[in-house]
Amino acid sequence: MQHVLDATPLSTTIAGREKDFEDLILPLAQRGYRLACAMLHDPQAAQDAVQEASLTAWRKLPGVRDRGRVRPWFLGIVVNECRNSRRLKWVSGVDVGIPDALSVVSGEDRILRGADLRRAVNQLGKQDRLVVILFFYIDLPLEEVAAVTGSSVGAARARLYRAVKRLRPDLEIQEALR
Amino acid sequence: MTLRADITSAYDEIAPPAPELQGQLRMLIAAEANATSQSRPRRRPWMVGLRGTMALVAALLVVLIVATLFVGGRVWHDWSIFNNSRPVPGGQVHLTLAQLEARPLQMPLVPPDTTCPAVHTFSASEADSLPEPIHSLTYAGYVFSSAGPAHASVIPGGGGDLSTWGQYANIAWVIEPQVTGLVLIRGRDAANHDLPLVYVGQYSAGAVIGTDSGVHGGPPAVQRSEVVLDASHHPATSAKGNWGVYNVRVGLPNGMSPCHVFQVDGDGFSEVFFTHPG
Repeated sequence: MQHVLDATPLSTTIAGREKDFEDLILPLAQRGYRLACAMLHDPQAAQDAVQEASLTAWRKLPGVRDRGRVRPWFLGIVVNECRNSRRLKWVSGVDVGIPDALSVVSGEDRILRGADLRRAVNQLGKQDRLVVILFFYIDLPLEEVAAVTGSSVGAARARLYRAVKRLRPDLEIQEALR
Repeated sequence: MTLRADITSAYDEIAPPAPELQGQLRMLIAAEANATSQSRPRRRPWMVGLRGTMALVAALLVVLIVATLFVGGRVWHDWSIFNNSRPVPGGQVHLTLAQLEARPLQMPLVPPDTTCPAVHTFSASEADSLPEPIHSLTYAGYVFSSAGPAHASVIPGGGGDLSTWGQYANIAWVIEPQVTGLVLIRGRDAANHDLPLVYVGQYSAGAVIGTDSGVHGGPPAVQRSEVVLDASHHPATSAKGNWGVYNVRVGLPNGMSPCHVFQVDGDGFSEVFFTHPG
């Protein structure tokens, strides 16, 4: 998908910035919240992270050069806030309340239950996990996944394929990516 | 179900709806906007127009400061060189002279019936190889020859004057070129240190011992106790070796023995030697 540059300048005035925030950032709030929930496994912490991210976006909004890139830009801020939030908790992971032993054994057409699937995703590498969440849960195209994770599209695709292979080793890639 | 649907379902379980989130964000941003507008007033249009000018003025100020530091540094440097190259100030001269005068006299006392210990006369060929920084001269029959005849010290009897008090003669003091600064010369009768040689006219210095108005054919002579020479500025130099030559008029009171002793003090040296008029 070819990105078309939308270089319409954003306002530098307070009132203009409020309108830009209303038009560009607020529609992304729910998506940012879902992303934060997926990363933090804590709805309250996720709301806090989105609020912090919104404040940061509000302050930096006049510096955005391309309106078409606002979504990955804002979601990137959310990801950073979530990482900061986790750092402040002095833990590298979050207790998601998932038992160590899987209650359902994977099979050819068996579906992992939600908790099991989250556990499986959680066992992926940090960046791979983020790519999976952004692509499947937040429903971003690969170009924007790459923008949020700060990598190339090829690298994001490679991470995604690797993660899918681990989550659904029996599925063809193209089928799994649907 | 697809993997996408499974993952969406799995994470929706831990992401309860938050319908109030957007309202909270609106309020948060409104408060932030309010705080921003209160704490940072808008730039007025005239200030925006002046921005370029102010930047230019600031740049010029920086250039001016740098130039001032550079020029000031040069001026200060030149001033320091000028100060360091100035002649020794008067206060310093007095201090140096006082330090020389404070040196104790180390002139030996020679009994009247003994031989004057070390009276030298030098040939012209010897003069250039003398080791001491100060070399004497002669009077009343003694000739100290420097490198050339034109720079020989006083010819015996030359310039001598008699008075009822004693006699006067010219002594040429020859100073080697490496000596700089003040040179203090004090003289005594070697057999009787209570009888000082006195000096009159140019280079005489120190305490006034007396005034001799009995000099034949001359004005009254103010007699002083010592001679001070400035070896940094020779009034004349020898033709060979660039030695400084100072003609000093010395007075010898009646009754003085023929053996005289001098102590010469200068920067880094002190020298005592005898002369004997013969």
